[in-house]
Amino acid sequence: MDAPTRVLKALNHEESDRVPAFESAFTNNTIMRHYGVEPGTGLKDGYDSIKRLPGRDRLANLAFSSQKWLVKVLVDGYELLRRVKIDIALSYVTHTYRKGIPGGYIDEFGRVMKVDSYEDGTVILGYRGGHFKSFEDYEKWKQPSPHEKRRLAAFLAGKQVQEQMNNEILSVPAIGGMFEPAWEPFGIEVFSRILAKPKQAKKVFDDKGNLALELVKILGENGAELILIWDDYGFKNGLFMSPRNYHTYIFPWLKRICDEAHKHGSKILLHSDGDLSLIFEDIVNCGIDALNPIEPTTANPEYDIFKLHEKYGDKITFVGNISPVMLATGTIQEIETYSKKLIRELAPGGGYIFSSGHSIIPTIAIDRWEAVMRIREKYGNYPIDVPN
Amino acid sequence: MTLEDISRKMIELDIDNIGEAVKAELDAGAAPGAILNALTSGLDEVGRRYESSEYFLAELVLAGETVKDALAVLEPHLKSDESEVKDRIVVATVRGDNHDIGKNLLITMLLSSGLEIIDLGMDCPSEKIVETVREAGARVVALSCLLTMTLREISVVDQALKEAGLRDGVKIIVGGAPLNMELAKELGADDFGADAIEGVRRIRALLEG
Repeated sequence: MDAPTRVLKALNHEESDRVPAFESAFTNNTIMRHYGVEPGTGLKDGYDSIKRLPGRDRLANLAFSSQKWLVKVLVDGYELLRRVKIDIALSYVTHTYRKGIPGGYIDEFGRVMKVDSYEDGTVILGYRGGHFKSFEDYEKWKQPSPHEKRRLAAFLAGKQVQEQMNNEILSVPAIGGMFEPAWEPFGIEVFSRILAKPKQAKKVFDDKGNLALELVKILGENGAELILIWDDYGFKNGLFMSPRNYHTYIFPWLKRICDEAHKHGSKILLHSDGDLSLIFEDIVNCGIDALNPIEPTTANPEYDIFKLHEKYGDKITFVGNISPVMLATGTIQEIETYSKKLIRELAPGGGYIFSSGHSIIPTIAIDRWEAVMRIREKYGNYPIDVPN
Repeated sequence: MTLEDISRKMIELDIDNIGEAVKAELDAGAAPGAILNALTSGLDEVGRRYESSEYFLAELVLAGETVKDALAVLEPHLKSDESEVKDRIVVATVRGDNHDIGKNLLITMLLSSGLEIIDLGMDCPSEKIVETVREAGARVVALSCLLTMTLREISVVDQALKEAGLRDGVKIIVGGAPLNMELAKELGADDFGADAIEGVRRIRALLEG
């Protein structure tokens, strides 16, 4: 069975040959090398190749519009995912380069991004704050357009690599949502001031909503089976803003986005970190098809994937959730026990995609990753039979 | 305008008018220390509302911004009003970690606490923390750590303070997404704050204890 079929079966709450797997990010050069993929030939090389050139912003923006260049950027990461039997790989339709700065760049939303390097050479692009100091700064910024060439180029590049890999992975276009691309370009302090002015807040959220909705329409029309929306609504201790604000500014857009996707036969996977307890049902009611990662390390013990699955398991597909802390510092036995529990309790009948509770980070050692792989290989085949 | 109005404006997060309100109270002859107390009392209520889920992170951050605007007007008057030596605390995000929301929120929540806060910023090496603790005679080090990858830096700071012979005179409190009390203690910290509000409360307790 190929990856698109396997993933779609899970999303339709049907059993396939095995439980599909996903990681929202796989940034670990040690594991990459272990599986025979030489790191650093993708994004970093692409970035390095343009950063010293004159007119780098123009060149970078041209590169991000080139399907050929984007294929080169994606292929190593996809190859790693194929080798570790992860079924979904992402193509990045938004959050792209706008303007270079020392050590990084400002993305098209106005987020300051910088490159962090880790001991094993892993390179991670990290958010370092907002470029806008006021609403006036925001209004002067050329807003990202859904119709830029780079959007479809990114989607088609992912699909090209998927085809090259004989559908052993499903390439899924990823776009920004309404909340994260709204606040991050300001930073939380300036954004809190914007949020206190409803007209300004509405303008910012509506700009993002319009962009996301139009992108979903374009991607749906071009055959995207599944679209990932990055939009962290929460953090460890709860929500960034009040449920009322999510109802006012975010959920009307999320519902329209889900409706638009479904009109084209596409499905929506929402990636939202944090404790979402207070708005979980509202998110489900917007019509999302799947949610990642159901973060396991929030401060709320009730935000529990097993309890949530009992209540909402027939409505959405759960994509999660081995804690990155457990993967980095736990014992092999703890990792195996939790992985088995996820498969045993969530996978029967479909509606579950195996994943970490955030991403695979540089501090996760190879033996811990292999423990996860071992459990998936041994117990992840349908029909599920995992001893208690 | 009364001191109660100052507290109320703080609680209602009236950032557009807090500066004017503080100025009006000063002009009316209110003692700067009394205005600071009114702000602190308002901030305490904001914290209570945050803990009971009436307010959320955005409101907590806006409260911090409101305090900053109020202190911009009040602070020059406070300096001439005050003579006592303040307790000093060092706040930093650990080496390798470039997140500052939690750290900055803690600092703004501490602004009206009467403590002297030394902000060492993000990605802060243990050497700089040790040096600052020594020079400033700080009694508390508050470390923010959001990344699982940088958790071990807490132990590095603990060890560096021990090696410098400073650990007995200083408490370490930590906060951040991957942490809890058990892990914090395991890594060598004395205490853990689940959020900025709890962090302030625990720092006060550490200073009193």
